[in-house]
Amino acid sequence: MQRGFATRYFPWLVLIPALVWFILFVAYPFGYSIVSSFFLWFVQNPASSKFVGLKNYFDIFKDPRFITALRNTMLYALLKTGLVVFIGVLLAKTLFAIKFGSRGYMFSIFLPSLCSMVAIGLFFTYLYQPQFGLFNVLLSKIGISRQGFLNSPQQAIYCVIITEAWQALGFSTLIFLTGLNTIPDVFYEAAQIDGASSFVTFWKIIFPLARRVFLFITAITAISAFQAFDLVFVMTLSGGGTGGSSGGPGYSSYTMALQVYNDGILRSQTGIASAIAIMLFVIIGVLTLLQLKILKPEWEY
Amino acid sequence: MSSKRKNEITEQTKSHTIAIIVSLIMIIPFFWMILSSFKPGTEIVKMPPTFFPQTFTLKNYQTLFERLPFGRYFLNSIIVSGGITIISMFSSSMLGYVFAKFNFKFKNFFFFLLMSGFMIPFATLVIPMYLLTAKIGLTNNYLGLILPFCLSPFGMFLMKQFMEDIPNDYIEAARLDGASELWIYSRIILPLTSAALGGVAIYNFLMTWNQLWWPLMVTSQPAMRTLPLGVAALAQQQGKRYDLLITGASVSVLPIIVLFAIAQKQIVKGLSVSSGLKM
Repeated sequence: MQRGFATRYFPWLVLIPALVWFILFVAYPFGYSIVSSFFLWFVQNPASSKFVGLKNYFDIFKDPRFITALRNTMLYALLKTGLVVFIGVLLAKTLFAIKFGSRGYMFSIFLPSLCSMVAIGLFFTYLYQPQFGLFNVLLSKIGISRQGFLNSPQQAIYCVIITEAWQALGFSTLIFLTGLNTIPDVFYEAAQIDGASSFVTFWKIIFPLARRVFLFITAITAISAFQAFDLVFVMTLSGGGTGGSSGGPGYSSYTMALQVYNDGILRSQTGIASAIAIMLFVIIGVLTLLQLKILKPEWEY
Repeated sequence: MSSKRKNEITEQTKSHTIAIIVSLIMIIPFFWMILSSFKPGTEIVKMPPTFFPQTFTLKNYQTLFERLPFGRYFLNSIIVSGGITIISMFSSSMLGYVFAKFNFKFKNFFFFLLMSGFMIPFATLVIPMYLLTAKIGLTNNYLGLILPFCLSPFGMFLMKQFMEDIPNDYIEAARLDGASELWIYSRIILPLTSAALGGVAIYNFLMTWNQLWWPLMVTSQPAMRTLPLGVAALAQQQGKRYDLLITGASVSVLPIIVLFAIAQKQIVKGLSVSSGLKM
């Protein structure tokens, strides 16, 4: 088959701008992060930067702020993923069983997933407000004393994580629901004829068939949780972080992504920020590979 | 038989009850937020809190729009999100087409190279990206806000997947008739993958409409802020003014609520397509 000049060069006409973009906005920044993570890096004058090998990587582990950030990030990933997957699957199962009107419920359940973290975060800081916030009012009704919530170094990060899980619940429910819809009806019918309880139907039929969906949701929720920034940033702003920054009270609600911003931009410690950024890359890279492996089409039925 | 029916009715009632409770937990904060934006500042901080406004006022909106260029924030968000959405629809579909239907040297290498962008978290790129943007003078500039998100590796992946299903005969026949590559792309390929393209568009629009981190880095002038950043900046300056914060938050979620109410079906479908599970 003879191909015209235009047809032969068309792919390159598309590809070359894409590659230029890739070099500028992916390859170069990535390389910069890797290189600067081994240096005492001076942004204004990179030539005078001092090579320090792995020192940045060792130093951050001596920094209590980073230990807190690491702990909070792990907590974020575990708790958010756990809540979102567990409640999401139960909710999807409930909605799936509903014969009429489940779309109406989906509207309110999915709405938070579409709205900005900034708006949601700020409204929740109002609900968490210790003096007149809803949560303390509700707690006092059941006889629990007033909590500090976002003002408490022990509780702040949990308040943020719960808000984020609330926000992300709709998306996981939607994906689970889509997953349940792809299971051929014969499986449900067979289970019903055999008289299986809904618990057995779930664990013996739905779970194995929708395993890919479970793994997918788990992977993408964890990936986003490891990068937690927006919600922490706005919810801990008024929590009393130093110099107008977020992560307070003190540095109790630092996450790794937030420390990249605080150290890299506000404190101009680029080398340190880069080392944290590279560690995040390693964690998320592993999770993404896992996710891509899950996404690879394979026949299951 | 009748006991089986009865069982089913109890099952349905149970499911509806759970669904109603969860729906309320999810939607009440939005109702409350919007209702609160009409309360005077004193009522917002009152104990115990009120749900419906006792005194109805538009003063919060007036103060907000007087003090801050919220109209401008809104326009900026439209320009930035709209720009990113249109450009990434082009780039995702063109690259998807090229990778799905053409053969050229190092094709797989280039595909995996571009896809690798998907594996690198934004946090890893953000500081050098900012330094680069500052160096080429694109801070406080729409281009600076748009350029880093022009190509979505995931959109490209998704479009490629869908385009591979288009029979080659369609393309070859058009080529024999002397159709140009752009004609084939716009008249054959795009119409056949419009559902996936819609998914890419919705996904990109929502992602960028709500994003905070990048606009926070590259804009220092208030006039260049996007809506979420405008609201966050408000919180930075007036952390304790809940009346203004809640009103600002309401302004930024209202368009999304309206959009979702109008196009729920398309948005839900688009997002489940773009979740990448070809179901």
